[in-house]
Amino acid sequence: MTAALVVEQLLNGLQLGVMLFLMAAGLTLVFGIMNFINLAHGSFYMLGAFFAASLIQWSGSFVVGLALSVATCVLLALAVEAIAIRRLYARDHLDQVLGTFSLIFFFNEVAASIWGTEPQFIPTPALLSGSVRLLSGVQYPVLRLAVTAFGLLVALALYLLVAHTRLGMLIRAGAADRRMVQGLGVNIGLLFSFTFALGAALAGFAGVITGPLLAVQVGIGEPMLIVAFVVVIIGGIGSIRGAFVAALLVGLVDTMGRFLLPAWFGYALGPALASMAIYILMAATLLWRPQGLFPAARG
Amino acid sequence: MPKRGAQWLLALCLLALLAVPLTGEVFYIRLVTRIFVFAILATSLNLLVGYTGLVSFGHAAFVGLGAYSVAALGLHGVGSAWVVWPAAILAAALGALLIGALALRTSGVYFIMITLAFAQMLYYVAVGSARFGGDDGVRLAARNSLGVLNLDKPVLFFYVVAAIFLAVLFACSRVVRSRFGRVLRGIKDNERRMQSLGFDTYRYKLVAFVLAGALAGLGGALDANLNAFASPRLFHWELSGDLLIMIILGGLGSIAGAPIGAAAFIVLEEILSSLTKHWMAIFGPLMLLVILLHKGGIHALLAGKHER
Amino acid sequence: MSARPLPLLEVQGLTKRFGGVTANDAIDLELAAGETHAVIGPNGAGKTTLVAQLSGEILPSAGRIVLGGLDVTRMPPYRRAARGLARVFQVTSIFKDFSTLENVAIAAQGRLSHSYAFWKPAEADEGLNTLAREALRQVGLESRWSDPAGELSHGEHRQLEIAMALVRRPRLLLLDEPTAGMGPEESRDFQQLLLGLKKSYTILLIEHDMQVVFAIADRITVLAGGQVIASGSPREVQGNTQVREAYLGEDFAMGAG
Repeated sequence: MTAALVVEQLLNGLQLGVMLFLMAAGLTLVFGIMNFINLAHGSFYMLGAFFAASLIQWSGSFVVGLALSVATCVLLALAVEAIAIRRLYARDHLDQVLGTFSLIFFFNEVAASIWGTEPQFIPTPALLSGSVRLLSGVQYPVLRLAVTAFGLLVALALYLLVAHTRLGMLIRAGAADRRMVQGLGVNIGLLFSFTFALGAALAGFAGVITGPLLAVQVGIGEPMLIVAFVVVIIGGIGSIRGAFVAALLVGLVDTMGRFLLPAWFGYALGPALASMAIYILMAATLLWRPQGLFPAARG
Repeated sequence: MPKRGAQWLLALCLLALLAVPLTGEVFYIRLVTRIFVFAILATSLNLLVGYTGLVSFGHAAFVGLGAYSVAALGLHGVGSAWVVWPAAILAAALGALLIGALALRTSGVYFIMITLAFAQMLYYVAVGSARFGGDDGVRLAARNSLGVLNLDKPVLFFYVVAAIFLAVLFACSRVVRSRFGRVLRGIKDNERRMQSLGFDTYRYKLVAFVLAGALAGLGGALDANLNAFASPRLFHWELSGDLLIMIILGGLGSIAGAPIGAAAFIVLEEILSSLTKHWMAIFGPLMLLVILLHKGGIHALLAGKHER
Repeated sequence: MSARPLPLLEVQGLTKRFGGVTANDAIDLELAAGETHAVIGPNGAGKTTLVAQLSGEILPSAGRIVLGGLDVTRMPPYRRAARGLARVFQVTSIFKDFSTLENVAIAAQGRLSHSYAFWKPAEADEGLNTLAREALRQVGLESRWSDPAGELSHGEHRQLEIAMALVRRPRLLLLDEPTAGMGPEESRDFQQLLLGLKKSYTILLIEHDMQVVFAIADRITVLAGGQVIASGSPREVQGNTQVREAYLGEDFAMGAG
């Protein structure tokens, strides 16, 4: 247990937190504005990574591949929204949950058919390879720093969009009081499609940039989705600020938990506790604040 | 089809299923045993979803607890069903009490997500536990023994499971028509009103949750016995989702709906997977269609009811 | 000097603030057993907030509510109901998937100490059914007992709500704008029903229809801007200039008398 190791884990936790934010932001927006719970959200994370694996190889450039992958995710999201998702808006949550759950089967199977079941790899861009010396004794991979930075940039862009544009104002208003926004004559259909596509873009983006770090395989979206749910619950449904704070919290607790708990409790009990850490955090939040840390006003 | 006719048809199907062991085909005996196990699981969840209006996406948690109780006791040499099955029920009920006490403080989407999250937590704990084989799960040396009955014989096990299924079905049908069941139905219809009538709805929901969880634990124990195997997959949200689809498929509004849905789901899965390797790509959209059109499920179709 | 009997309901300094808005400001109210007390006031006076606080759906920022000598200020709705408060909702809130009879039976079931009975069919419980039928008869709905409650007309929903309240033998009947949405003839019928109930029940009536108020209320409290601006007998309230001012511009049809 050295200071260097702790710093490294903290940075990892930060990186995980930023990725979780990108996933959770889409979920919480879609729920806040459309009162729609989307279990297939994780599929866009997975598909973003798969698209990138192919498109980066085809184009030879990471950046081009990234841009094309996100664009493809957006197009796919718009198609899915128009064909299936739209029909579930008026339904109760049970139907939405099961409907989107069914879509997971479909996406997983299609991905397996196209890319196979062996893991794909996205090569680290040359510019981002290697590690850099942060403090004395702390060597940290450039790639991870880049992922965190990139993620924060997107988070900042999202913040600017939501807080400083007219569109963002509509989004915030919609999250707080959907019916009011409809009453104002805004084209609700367009707003919904946009929001859904935005969520998918964020998830896909997260999938692409974590691609080089992890293997790209069928089913990688679902674990991320579950943790994103935990983030949304802790942060408060409909709140971007809540999602950000909660995401960083969950990222740190999960990473530090897996690092510290086995050291403190031994290898029999430690890993089990580490798996449970974020859920215990969620339970504790529920006891104290059942609506989450920053609940958006519900309309 | 009039309601009377539907009841006769269902009774006939049940008799046909009960007669399957006469064919001597182990494959079909196992298949129908599996149908009965899932019928128990779906019925237990239906108490929550169809009768109390609680959409739990974490029911698998209690199935897994039941199955792993069998595995845990098995590892310690305890194999008598008289001990193991009640232990499984107890473990699941306890899990349901803890998870329910927390989750029921919320409602709506929060409740769905929280039940999902807690079940997944148990999944990750199971996957991470070397003691229980981690990802690979635990193989049981043999099925539990029920007194002198050797449940390793497929036909014997079949009839034990069938008997348990019928008992569970009958018990649940009494519960939903009882005064307790009426409170649950009232909560589903208008919870705020129930509170203004003097009912402590949180407590009633918790009792329902624990009851459903206990039955799921029993189903989990039977599943572990059926396959002589306890796998983390029994905690996975995919199982929770499958159970919910079974209920919708069969019809939410009746006790018979859940078993019908379980049978339909398993049969459909069998048929599709034997047709193509990529059956999930068909199964997914098919389920989506069912969700979009369900209007009361198969049971409503049979009984000629028109509900949404 | 004789001791005054303990009031059935005492509201002391009841206040509710929502952010910067004070919806209820130090409201005082007192009801004696057997009294019919009306709370009136123009739109936005805070009547809805007051009802929500009395029923327990929202907790006050300050003040006390005492029901039958017991401080219920912080009690959740189900415990106040168990202490004898029966609320008839402004927007009908019945069990639309249950039959009319079962709606009332379940209300009667709420009086039992508990419903943890898992075996015997509820619909066969003759004790509950008898109570339910009697309540339906009192409001004139007994012929519709087997119909699904969702199929009843708006006026019949009202009657059903009253039956569900009566079957519980409540100590306090809280009627939340019961004549809302009723035409003149329905209101007259309803007025008759209330006159009958007046004899046996303590009623707190939140109402807009002045005809009904002046026909049945023993005492009236007037709310405006979240505060009590007048309280007394119907005659006293009618003559109160502050009250007239508060209703300026509103349809304040004074009842006969």
